[in-house]
Amino acid sequence: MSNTSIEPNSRISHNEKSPVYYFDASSSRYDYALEDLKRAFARPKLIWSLIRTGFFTRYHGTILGGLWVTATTALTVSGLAVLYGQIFGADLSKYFPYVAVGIVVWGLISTIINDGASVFLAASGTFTQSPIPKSLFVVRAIGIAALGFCYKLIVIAVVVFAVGLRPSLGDVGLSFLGLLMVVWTGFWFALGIGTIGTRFRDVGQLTAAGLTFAFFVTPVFWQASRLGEYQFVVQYNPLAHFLNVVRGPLLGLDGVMNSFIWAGGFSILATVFGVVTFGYFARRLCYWS
Amino acid sequence: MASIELNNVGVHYLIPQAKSAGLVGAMRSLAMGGVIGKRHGRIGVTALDDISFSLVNGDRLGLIGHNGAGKSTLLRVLSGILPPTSGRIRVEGRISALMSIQLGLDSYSTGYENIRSRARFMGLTEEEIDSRFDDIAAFSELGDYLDLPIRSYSAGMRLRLAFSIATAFSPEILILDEWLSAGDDYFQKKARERLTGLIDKTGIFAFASHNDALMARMCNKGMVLHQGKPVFFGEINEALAYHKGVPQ
Repeated sequence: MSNTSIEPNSRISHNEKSPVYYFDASSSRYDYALEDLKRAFARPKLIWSLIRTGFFTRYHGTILGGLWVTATTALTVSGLAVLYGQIFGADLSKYFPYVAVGIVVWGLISTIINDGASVFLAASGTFTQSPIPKSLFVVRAIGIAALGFCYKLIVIAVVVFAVGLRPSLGDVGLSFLGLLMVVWTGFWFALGIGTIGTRFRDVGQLTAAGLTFAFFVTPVFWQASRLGEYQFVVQYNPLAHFLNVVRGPLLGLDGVMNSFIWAGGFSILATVFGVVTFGYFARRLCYWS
Repeated sequence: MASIELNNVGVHYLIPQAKSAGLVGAMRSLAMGGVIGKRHGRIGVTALDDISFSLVNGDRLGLIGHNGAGKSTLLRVLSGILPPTSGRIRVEGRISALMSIQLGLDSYSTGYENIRSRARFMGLTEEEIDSRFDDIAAFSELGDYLDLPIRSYSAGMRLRLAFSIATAFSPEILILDEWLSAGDDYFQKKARERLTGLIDKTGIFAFASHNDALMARMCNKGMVLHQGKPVFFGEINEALAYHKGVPQ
């Protein structure tokens, strides 16, 4: 054999330490998951490539492009606000922004939950064929949902200004904090539910069915104050609190602090759920999908 | 220094049959009685069994075996795609697994955009991509087509682009599942030289193929796999001879 002598390789800097991949099937559970997460977040440019192609592919060749998200939302919000404003006999200057922020934040939450349940199934063709971190696809799903949310923010901004609301910088900041809470919780929840959804295919269907139901028991387009003795529907509904931590500060609604406490609690639960589930089963994902 | 060490590596898993897949199926089988019930209706597969070996710089390993012997599974374990279900693996050095080289290409992006995003996909840094960018574009010989979305490419052109990107970066460990080829006669010759050059520069090379002559030329060590078990490990020509002697 002539090719046993190796020429020095000019393109690999020998000063750099070579990466080490170590896996012990009897002990590396959490290390494997942690390494996966670390590798996913170490590649911001790749994350952006994946989000960009994932989001804009849908709108290729259209004139409006991503603004179709804005247009669709504007239409839904206007229809709901005008019609249900009439049914509920609500003051449109208060009800319109209420529905606008409600629908947009609900859109973010439901997209994350829905896409989260099938996130690894949808990407299995990729991570079973190439050494790419699995959690990268959760980051991608959250990123695509967040990018859609940004396009919908235009609707919120227009509506809020049109009705003459001028939220203070502090209110906007608090609302942004609430939004970060939604995204943070969404990431860990998607990581966990995605893992379970890969093993049990019914989970995806279950979350889709559950979300339809949740839409009606969450005060997205109706006001919690009208519930009377059914207040518990909102009080023990985590989605209602996640909605309120974003919408409440912006529109000056009641119970914002209460919602922050509940949402904070649920975000801790979701984090534990995501860490434990992905931590325990990340190495099984290739076999399940 | 690149190195690979496997200790008692095994890949065993259960395939849920279509019938019992899903939550209801799992609950039903749980209700039907403990551990045995859980296995009810599921088929166990042993893709790899008790594999131990180590490779150092200069080793060119050829994997030999019939379809389903576990060659591709072992390559996927080596490249870090598949975590084994038993045993330990330690791989030192940057790995490049040249399988599914078209993964991550986006039809709506241009050839130039795809060079960048596919290279990112392979885990390369921006500096590495910048330094190899012109070489990739030139080698693909796609010229002005690189400004067009790759959905306008023919299958052969796509493969040429994918090949040019995949072979532009020198890893310390190169993993190849079947020989890569692309394009017409002229390009195939170019591609062969480029891939051979890449292999020569690589510290460790692991290769699976059914082409014995190619294996003998590219490798110096051979492992014969039979139903997931290593039945022979040694010099490549002896391994090939051993494999020929094993009844089907």
